Amino acid sequence: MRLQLKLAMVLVPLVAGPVLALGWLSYHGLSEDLEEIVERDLDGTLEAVTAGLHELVETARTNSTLFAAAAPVERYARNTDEQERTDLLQAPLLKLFYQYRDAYPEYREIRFLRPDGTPEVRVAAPGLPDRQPAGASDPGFAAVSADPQPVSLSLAPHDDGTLRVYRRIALADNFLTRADTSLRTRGYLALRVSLDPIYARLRARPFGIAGQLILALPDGEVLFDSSNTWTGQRLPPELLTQSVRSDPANKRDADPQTWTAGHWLFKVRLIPPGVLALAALPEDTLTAPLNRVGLTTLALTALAVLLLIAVLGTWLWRLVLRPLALLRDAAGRIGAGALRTPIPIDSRDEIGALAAAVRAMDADLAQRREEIERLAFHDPLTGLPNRRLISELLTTRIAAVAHEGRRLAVLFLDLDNFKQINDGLGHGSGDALLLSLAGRLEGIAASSAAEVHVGRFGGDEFLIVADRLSGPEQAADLAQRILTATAEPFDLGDTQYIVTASIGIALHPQDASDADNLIRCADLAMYGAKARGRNALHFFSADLDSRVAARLQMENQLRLALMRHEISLHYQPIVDLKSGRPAAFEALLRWDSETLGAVPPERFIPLAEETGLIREIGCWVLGEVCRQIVAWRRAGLVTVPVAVNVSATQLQRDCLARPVRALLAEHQLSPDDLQIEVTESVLMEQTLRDTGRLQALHALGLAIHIDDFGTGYSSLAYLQRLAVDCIKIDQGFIARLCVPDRDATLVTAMIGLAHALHLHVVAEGIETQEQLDALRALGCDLGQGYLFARPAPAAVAALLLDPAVPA
Amino acid sequence: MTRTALSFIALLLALTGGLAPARDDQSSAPGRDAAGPELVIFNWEDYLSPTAIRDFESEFGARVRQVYFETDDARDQAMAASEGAGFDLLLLDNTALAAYRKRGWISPLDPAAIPNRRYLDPRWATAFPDSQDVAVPYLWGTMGIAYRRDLTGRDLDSWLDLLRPAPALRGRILMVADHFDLFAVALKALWFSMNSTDGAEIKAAADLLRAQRPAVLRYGSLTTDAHSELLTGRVAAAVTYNGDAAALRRRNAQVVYVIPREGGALWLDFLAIAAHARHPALAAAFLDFINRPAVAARNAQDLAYATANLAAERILPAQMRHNPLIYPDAATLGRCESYTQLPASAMAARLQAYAALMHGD
Repeated sequence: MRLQLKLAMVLVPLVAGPVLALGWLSYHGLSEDLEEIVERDLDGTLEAVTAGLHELVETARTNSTLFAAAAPVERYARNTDEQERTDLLQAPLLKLFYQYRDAYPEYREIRFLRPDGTPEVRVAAPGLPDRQPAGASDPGFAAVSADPQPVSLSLAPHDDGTLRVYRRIALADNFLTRADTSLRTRGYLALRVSLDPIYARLRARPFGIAGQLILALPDGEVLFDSSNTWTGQRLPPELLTQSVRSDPANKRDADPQTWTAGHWLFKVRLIPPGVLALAALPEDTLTAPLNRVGLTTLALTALAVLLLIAVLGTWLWRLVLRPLALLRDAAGRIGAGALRTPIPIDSRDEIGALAAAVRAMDADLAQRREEIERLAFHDPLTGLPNRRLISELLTTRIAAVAHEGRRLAVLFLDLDNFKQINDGLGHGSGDALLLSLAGRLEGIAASSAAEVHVGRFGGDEFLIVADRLSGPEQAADLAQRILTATAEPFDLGDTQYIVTASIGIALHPQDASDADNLIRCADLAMYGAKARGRNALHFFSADLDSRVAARLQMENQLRLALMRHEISLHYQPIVDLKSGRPAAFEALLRWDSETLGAVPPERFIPLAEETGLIREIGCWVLGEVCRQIVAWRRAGLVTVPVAVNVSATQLQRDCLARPVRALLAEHQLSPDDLQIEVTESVLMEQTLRDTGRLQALHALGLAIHIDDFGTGYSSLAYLQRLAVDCIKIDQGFIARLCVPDRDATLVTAMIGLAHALHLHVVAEGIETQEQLDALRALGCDLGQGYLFARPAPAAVAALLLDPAVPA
Repeated sequence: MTRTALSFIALLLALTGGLAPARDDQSSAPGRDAAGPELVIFNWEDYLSPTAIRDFESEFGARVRQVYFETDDARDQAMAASEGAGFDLLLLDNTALAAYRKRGWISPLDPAAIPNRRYLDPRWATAFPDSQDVAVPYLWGTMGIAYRRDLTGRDLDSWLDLLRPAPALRGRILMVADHFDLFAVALKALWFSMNSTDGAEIKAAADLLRAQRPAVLRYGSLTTDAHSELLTGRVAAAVTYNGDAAALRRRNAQVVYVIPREGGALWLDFLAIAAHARHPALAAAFLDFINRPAVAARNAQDLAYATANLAAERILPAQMRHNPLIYPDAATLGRCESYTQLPASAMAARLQAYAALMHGD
């Protein structure tokens, strides 16, 4: 607003000034012009009057001479005998006079006077009273007769404003002589000339705007008034004195006077033969246009100023003030911390440039802030979150985990002999090592199933937050992997160095409930690891330790088991209950560990599945089974199909159809020779894709068995869809089969279901004859259990096979 | 006679030529002698018998040309314009005589040249003693109203019938165009003398005339031929002279002439020889010729006017002599005034008023 005011204060005078100056100049110029015009107008009118009067007078003068010279007039004048004159000469004279009057209607009266002035003949306009006094009694006539000039003209007062013309008729006695020395006055021709023609002409003449022309006699008697206000009256004496005072010879006398209503400018002239002409214009013919100009100028100035203000108001605001306000607000926001704030100015001018500069500044500030933040929150060397950040992160995670019941672990990693490296090789190498380690840690974090965040806690300390853990074992796994990765040599220039780490693991919520305590627990655990001899992990909770250690051990051993051929297969027959003959074998894993001894499958198979070793093992199993079948055939035995257990993990991870096909092809076996056993739970856990994998195996021609049927949630639709061949009733149901009011109904139902779906049924875990009888009675097809045979090695199992009939 | 005639012929032959001003008349007399002298007579129209003219022409071997004036004023003005030149004989009323004589426009008569003067009625000489030596009485008559009885619907008997006309007559009135005669009508209508010198009387007459003017068809005189306005009916009543009225009555019996009860005017016309006559002797011979009783009688009969020639009067047919139109009875005559010479002021008054009236003021 103030800017507008400042601008206005400068511009308004700049705009108004010239307009006013122009107006004043034109006013002044117009004023002068108007005065000139007025004066010229007045002069013109007076000139017209003068000319008209002059013309009239001259014409009257000439005419009087002509009339007087006419023959009838001369004859009449010459004749001294009154009787004769009247009888004979008067009639023609009268006729002549009438002709004159017809020709000149303004000659109101034509008379013939005797030399002494007595009127004799008179021809006059009708109604014109005969007022002329006769003869010597008329003072005017005395002057006329004395005047040596033959023509005399006068304007007499009280005479209706007519010009009186006397023409002396002086004739020589002798007609024929040319010399006029003996002229004798025979009489006078007297004309009364009306000034009406002049008046008519003056009325017809356009006389400016509301101007007035008055003709009067010097004594004030008004003869003619163009506006008809003074007609018949007398002019005020002050006006007359004024005009008498002024020089009759064209002196300028145009002062405004109060005369009739209003102010007038007038000019007076005395015109021979004695008419006072007064031309006047009202003063406002001068003032009205001037006022108009003045008002117009003022109006224009006001308009210009208003326009300017309006323009200032809108354009200035739009172009400058609004953007400035926006920029001011943006600056405020930037100052307040709301960086990368939008600035909606996009004009391509200096304001726009300023806005762009501010935007750039904003971006720079934002960038710097981000950088600062980054620096504030990240380790400059490794780029890992720094202590603060990782601690905050931990706090956040703890708060989140509280809602969802996730498991959280904190791993405190301390490098064992970093100080020597740093001191020995210098900080540069030390930094390089740390950087490299950070990279490794990040790699492990990325590839872990849990959500792992790595942060640099101190000089050679790292804090690792592991979220969404499946169990403490996973934390131990993670720690172990880290240890392994750390233990790998670091390439520092020419030589390689090895460092080890000690990791302390604290679990949430078991070990602590808040971040600081958790870190402290992990720290303590770390020292425990160091106490253990370094390059080790140590749980804060002690008992977890041994369990995990044992598991680790087993895991390690299992990894080596295949390699050491500690894994073998035992075969248990599936017996046809009617015939008592084996219909198939089930291959079962056995592990005889060097270090651990015979590890029951229920211990190592879950581990295998958890660690993913099952895949490798599973592949080996398939291969082994094929080899075995081939070996039996080569030994001359009739083989039966062998069922192989396939775990969910296997189905999840791999497509088995191809390797199976390859194996079958390789060993030249038919699909009938192999069977697949999957647990009921697999059915439920699988996605369609895995179902597809199962279907693929079925499509190959392998029979699918549902193992442990009845222990999980079966979808009957799935059963149908998968085109399962056989269900194996879980041994638990068989165990309780003969117990009254237990699972007999269920088993019956399951057998009925299987038969209804045209599936085979295998009863698992048949141990007593009673069970067998019952099952037989229920129509169960097949059975498996200790009653028939225990799982045995291949050689033993082979005894159950019939030899092949020699071809 | 023969010797005189022969000498006149010779004179006329010597003095051929000369045109007269004003209107000319193609003489209807057959056998005009191109070589003979021409007598120019300034006269009223239809105021000389064509028979008489023919006889004169053939007897004297001369040509007669008449120049007509319609009014006395016209005559006076023509005379004034030409100073009397161009005419041989002038027809004058008694009032003009004195003035013309004074003006020197007429020349004295030689009594010896006009012996037939003895046939004239002596009363005229008595009435106008000053006329004896300059002019010869010619015809006399009255001035009255001639009207169409069938158009007016009633008998007119007053000047006021014209001056304050009935609606039927308005616009169909002809008034005399002479300053004296017109005022005579108005003055007599007001029971003033037509020779009044009283300014007030004259003014009253002038006012009466001015009031009448819108009803007047025109100011002038009637012709007596078949196309006369009174005969065609354009004029229903007119101021006219008895002879003209009689001539018109001959053509249409509905024409009535009356001298109103206020009285009429009695006029007498003279013939005089112009002072600048080319053929004064021939003019005198004409005067003598016209006063032969037979000629005068013939003339009077043709014109239906009363002749001033007593001898001629006696040999007029009785019908004419007893025609009241031409020879009114004593009572009627008693009502008539003769024209007298007016003083200049009275004349001037009439003149100016008349001029104003004619001008339309």
